[in-house]
Amino acid sequence: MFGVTFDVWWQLSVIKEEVAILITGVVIKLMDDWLDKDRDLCSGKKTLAARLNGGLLPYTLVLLALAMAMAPGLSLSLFLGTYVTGMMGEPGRRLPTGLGSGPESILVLLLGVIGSGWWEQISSLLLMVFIQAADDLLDAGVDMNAAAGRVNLALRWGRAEAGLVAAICLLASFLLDWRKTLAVAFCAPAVLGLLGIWERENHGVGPDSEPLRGDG
Amino acid sequence: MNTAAWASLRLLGWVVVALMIAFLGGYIAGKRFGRSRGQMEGEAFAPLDLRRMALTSGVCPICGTTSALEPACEEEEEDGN
Repeated sequence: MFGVTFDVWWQLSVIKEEVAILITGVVIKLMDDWLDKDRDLCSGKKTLAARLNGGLLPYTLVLLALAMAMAPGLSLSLFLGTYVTGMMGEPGRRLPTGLGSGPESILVLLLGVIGSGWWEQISSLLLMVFIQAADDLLDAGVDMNAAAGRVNLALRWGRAEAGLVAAICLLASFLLDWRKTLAVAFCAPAVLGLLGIWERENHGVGPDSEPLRGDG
Repeated sequence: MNTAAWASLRLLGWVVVALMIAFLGGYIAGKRFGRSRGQMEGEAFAPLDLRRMALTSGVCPICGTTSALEPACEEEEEDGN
């Protein structure tokens, strides 16, 4: 397909990249849950990040190191893409480095470009913006009623705008790297679903809490 | 799919992306313009509407004070009869 020969090594590299994307997805979800830990606990949710507590950092670092060993450019670009996307919702915020979120985003993006290359970093950033906007669109109803003041792009920009941005980013990332886009589109719901099931089975959800993100 | 077909499909895809970005820009500009224009029209119309409501009902719609005069519409009805 598309001039690529299906030999064993290619298939192995595809599997390796898929696993790296899956592991990076788990790292990103854990990081996101850690940042929202207090808010989630207040609303009765006990996520995996809250349960691991102090153990989260070493586990996450081991997982990220594994993903980086399997597919360095891919994992780095996806992780840094998420970092930049996460700061999009809070434009004027001053971060612990002393920089504003805008300059820090640009710095992180530049590091990503140096580490993994232009196309890899841009396509990963577009993918992460797509996932963020799509997730926020799905969560818009819950976040509008939540008193916690969660940053939601669909509520901040408007639903139509967020939907359009998601569609543009998905199409652009598909045109830049169709294989990565399909792999991430498969892995993102898988990670959210698996962690959601784990949280439900381990009684991570309180009786009065909202349904877990990614449960459908 | 051969390389030429794939390249033309990619080009078409980028054209669609450009059109979607243009649509998004137009949507955002239109929404912003429409909101500010609606605000201006509302501000211009509100005093007239409040005055009409006060004159037709004889009750101030802001503070609820009742006028000593008969409502304007009843006067008009009497005149009409």
